[in-house]
Amino acid sequence: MKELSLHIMDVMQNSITAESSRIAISVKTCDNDRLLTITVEDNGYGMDEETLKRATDPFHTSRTTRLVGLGLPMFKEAALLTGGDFVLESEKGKGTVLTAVFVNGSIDRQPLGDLGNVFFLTMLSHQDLELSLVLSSSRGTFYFESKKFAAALERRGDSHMDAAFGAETFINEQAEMIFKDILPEMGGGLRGIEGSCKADKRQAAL
Amino acid sequence: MKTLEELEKISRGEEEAKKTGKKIISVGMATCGIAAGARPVMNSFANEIRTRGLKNVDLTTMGCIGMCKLEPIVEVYDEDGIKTTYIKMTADKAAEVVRRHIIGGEVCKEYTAE
Repeated sequence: MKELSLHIMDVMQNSITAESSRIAISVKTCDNDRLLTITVEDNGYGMDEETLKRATDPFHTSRTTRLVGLGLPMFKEAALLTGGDFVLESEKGKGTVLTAVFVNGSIDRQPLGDLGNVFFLTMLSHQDLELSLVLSSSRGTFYFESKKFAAALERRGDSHMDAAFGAETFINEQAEMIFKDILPEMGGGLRGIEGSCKADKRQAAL
Repeated sequence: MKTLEELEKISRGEEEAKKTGKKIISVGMATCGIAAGARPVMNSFANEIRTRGLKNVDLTTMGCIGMCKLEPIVEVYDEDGIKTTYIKMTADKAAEVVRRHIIGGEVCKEYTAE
C-alpha cells in the first residue's frame, strides 16, 4: 500500500464485508495542519472485544476469521511510522470506528493519493451504499454525500456510472483545493504513486 | 466436515443465486488484491464499460478468496451463472476480457485459473 487512499479503500471493503449500509469517511488536518487524521466509520455488524484485540495483530490471523488479516496492521503501521496513532473502536451489532492519525510533515507519511477514484469505484460497485466524506483543513471544509450527489445528477439524466465519474472529479478538485500547500503532494495534479504514473503516461502520449 | 455432494449442492446454489440475466464482473478488493494492483484493473473495467456504453454488466468487488499470490483476481459470472476466474490481471488484460468475454462471449482461457 503506497497511498492513504488505498488503505481507506481496503478498510471500506472490510465495512462492506461487515454488511454496512453506511460508511462515513473524514480526512482532516488539525493542530495548525500539523496532524492529518483519517476516520472511517461504518454501521456494520462490528467486532466483539476478542476480535477487536486481534484485529491489528497480523500474527493472530486465522483463515476462518475473514475480518482480520494484513489490511489493518498495514494501516496501523503507516500511521505509527510517522509518529502518529491508530485507534480501533467497535461494538458488536453497532459498527466500527477507525481513527488513524498521521504527523503531516513526517518523511514517512504516505501521500493521500487518488481519493476521488476510491469513491468512484465504490459508488460504482455498491450502488446502495451510503457514502459520506468530509475533507477539512485550515483552508476550509468540504462535505460530500454519495446518494445526494448521484440523485442530483441522475435527475439530470446522467447514468449512475456518469454520476460516479463526476464524483471522482469533484472530490479530487475539492481535495486539491482544501489541502493545497498543506499536504505537499497536492497541486500539480500529481496525486500519489499511481497518479504520477498516469501523468507520465499522458505526457508520453502527447 | 461436508461431503462432496453437499459441497456440490452449495456450489450449484451459488450459481442459481447469480442467475440475474446480467453479466457480473467481480474484482478482488481485499488487501492482497489492492496491493497487487486491483485498482487499475477495476478502473480499466469501468472505463471500458463506460466508453462502450455496456448496459447488461454489473461491476462489483469481493473480498479475498484465499489465492493471494494469484491476485489481482477477477470473477466473471455469465447470465446463466457460470463463473470464470481470471488471475494475475492487468489493466490491458481487463480491456481484453471486456472485448472478448463480455461482448464476444468467449472465455479468455489463457488468463483463467485452470
